[in-house]
Amino acid sequence: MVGKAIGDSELVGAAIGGDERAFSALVRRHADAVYGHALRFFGDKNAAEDASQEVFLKVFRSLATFDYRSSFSTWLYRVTRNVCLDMTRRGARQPLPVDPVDLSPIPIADFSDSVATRDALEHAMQALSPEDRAALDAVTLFDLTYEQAAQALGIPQGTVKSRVFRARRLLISLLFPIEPAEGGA
Amino acid sequence: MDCPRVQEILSAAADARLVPADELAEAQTHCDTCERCATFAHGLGLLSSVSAPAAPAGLIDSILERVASEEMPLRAEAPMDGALLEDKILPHRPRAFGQRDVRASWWAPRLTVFATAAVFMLAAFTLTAIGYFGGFRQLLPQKATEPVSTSDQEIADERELAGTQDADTATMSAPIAEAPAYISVNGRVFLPEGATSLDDSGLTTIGPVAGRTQEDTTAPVHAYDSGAGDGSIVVHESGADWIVYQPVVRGFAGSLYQLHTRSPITVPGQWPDLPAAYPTPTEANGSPTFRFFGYDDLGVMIFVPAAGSERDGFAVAPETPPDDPAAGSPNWTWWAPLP
Repeated sequence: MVGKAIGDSELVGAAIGGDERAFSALVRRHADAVYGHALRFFGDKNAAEDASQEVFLKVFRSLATFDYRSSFSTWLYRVTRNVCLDMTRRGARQPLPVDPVDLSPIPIADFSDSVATRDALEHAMQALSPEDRAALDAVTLFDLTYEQAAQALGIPQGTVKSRVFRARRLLISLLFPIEPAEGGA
Repeated sequence: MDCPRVQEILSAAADARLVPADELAEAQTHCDTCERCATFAHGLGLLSSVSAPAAPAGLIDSILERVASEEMPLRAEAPMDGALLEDKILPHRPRAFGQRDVRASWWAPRLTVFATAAVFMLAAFTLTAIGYFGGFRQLLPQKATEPVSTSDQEIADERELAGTQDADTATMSAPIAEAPAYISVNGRVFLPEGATSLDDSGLTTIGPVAGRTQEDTTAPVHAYDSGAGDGSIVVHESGADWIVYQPVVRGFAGSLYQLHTRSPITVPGQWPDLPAAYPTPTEANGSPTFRFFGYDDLGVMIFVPAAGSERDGFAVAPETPPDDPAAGSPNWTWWAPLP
């Protein structure tokens, strides 16, 4: 989500005007974020794919009502989060239960193996509380500012900041464990 | 500067947050002598370098194929040719009212009511004339508001109703459509999900189901917490299984809110209405009862009490989109946090 040649707003405008390529570009640009959040939410690839499809269908159907009062990413994040919650409530999908045993630290031994590193990170993500993970996803997957994330989640900015920080601190402690030591002054 | 503060500064800096330069420098200096914080800083860098999960090959194509099978819900005009500009610059227009021009609001409801009454008169006359009226009525579902008049007196009553009611109120109480199979318990609205079998020992009573009594007594039928932890309830229907009812909810700002009603839903097809504390707004912008607060994920306007907060609940105007949980409701609806 870096180096966007054409802004989301322009693509949304073109898509609303009937340009299918513009909508396709929006999907391609944001599919990873939507899928990534859904995957972390459900812990299951099939559920994440179902959710991603539903998210973009909802976006397509309601794109004409997008009013630019928030960024497209903020709106998309809210749709994604609500689709995941709604799917859970409808019983269509349930987050996979996580065995506490599985949450034991998996230190990253070889940082040159990007696949192993990513797998270890995703594994560690399951140790986060849903609230902390939601805040972290908003900021890192959807590229939202703290202000936008606060708007999307309906919580104060300070809470977003503390949740993101808490999430990172736990992830780092799981992935890069060190011997207990006294903190500096 | 202690370790938690150092790490908080480093985390904020990683998100491109504005951090005072002197504080950031002090935090970095701290890392030179603190292994814990140095590890945190190193970990931050590695976390940011790890790519997020990628959507699997084929998912995007699958999404685009599904979308291609739908018709693009276009605006009336291309956005930059006027509509978008108008939405951005002009005061907000109430989209939940079907994109209609607010200047038309004084005549449109009256026209709707008169047209509806005329259609009912014609239908009643025709059906009576050909002798099928009685049989046809038996096929109609029992509704809270009966849209078909059966006599000249009823037709006259309907004409009087159309002519005397306030325009907005008349529109809202007009027999537009039948509500889903709602039930209400303590003002909360539910929809049936399906039958279930359960051990009824230890069930927690939620309250009586509005308008429902035992088949052979006047004792009320009670609803119980399903125990699923999702706000659902179970009701033992006479001569049948336990039926699970799910709360009617909508998502907003990451939370779920349940549909409420002031009037107990006692008749199939009855629509929920606003709590007594909130009189039906007289204006499309929600005033004087509510003020516009924002949009939910699907662009539906959210209104909060004029002197309240969305945390206590919010209202939604009639005429929501077809996929809205309150679609078809002719009334303003009230949504309170899911217990």
